[in-house]
Amino acid sequence: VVVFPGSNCDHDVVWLLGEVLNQPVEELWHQEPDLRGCELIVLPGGFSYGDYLRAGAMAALSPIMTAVRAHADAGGLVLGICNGFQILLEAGLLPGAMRRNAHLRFLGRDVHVRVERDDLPFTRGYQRGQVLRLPVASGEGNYVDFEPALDRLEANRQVVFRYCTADGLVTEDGNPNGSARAIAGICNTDGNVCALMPHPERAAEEILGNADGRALFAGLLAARREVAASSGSRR
Amino acid sequence: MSTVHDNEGSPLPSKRRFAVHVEVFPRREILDPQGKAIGDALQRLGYGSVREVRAGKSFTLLLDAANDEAANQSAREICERLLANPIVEDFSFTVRERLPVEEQGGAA
Repeated sequence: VVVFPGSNCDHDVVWLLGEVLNQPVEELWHQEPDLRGCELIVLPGGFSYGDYLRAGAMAALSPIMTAVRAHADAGGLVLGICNGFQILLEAGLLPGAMRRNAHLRFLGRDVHVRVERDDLPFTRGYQRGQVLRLPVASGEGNYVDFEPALDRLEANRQVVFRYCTADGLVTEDGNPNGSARAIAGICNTDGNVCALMPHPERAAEEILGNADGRALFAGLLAARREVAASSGSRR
Repeated sequence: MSTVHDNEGSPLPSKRRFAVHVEVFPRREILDPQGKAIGDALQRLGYGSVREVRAGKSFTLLLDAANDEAANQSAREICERLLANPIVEDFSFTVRERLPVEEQGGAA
């Protein structure tokens, strides 16, 4: 879990991975040159560098991002949540950009998202078409790119989560912030870098009233066990 | 870089100083919710004559370069690589030479 100055959801992810899912977790300060052998890199939510210039723009240039880029290029898993999504966009590890929410309001509430593909390590805990209820907390979550780029994203099946109604319909009502094509989460073409605006780590324990987000992390663990079993010790 | 030396002792300063002013605005096709909200507020203040407001950012940089062309080149790169995000923003900039070039230790 990478910690930038201004990250504020890092502890939630550390808690979930470490205490709830019993995995070894490292907190990596943004100035560190390497990833200490971590297999999954999570860029957490928050307001890195106070959202100076554009959300994620400063963090994208921090020293640790060189190592994160190398990790991603080598096929390593990278998950961005909220501000982590913005950082991956600014770093060019995922395509597109974020605008202010369509109604200018900071949104802090539960939304519904539909899982668009279940064949990624990040989504294998879900089924395609499944509707999740997850909290969003962002002022700039309005995803955008040039039309041809959006078409490419669809053609490559890079849209992983879409905002929808409770019934799973992608409508204007179900789209809380105006995102192009109701995009809530995307991945790179190789499927090893994935990011979403809603916060699965804030909805991962029954005691908190909602555990819809937990299967994302549990699915990653299952994927890892499978890979380890089939090919010895590849990361 | 081992280009021209401009240490003290060199008779001619090989670098000149330029002031770069950059403006960044949301692209025309992109909704500018901030500008719209400010426009709405101006209507409420009674300025019904205001047709449009666009909200952007401006930056001023002082930069050293060998000549106008190099200064322009650097300014453009800086805009493209950091100050503006070309997916959602357009930028424009002006470059003006600052005279005279004074060697004063510890400039920004």
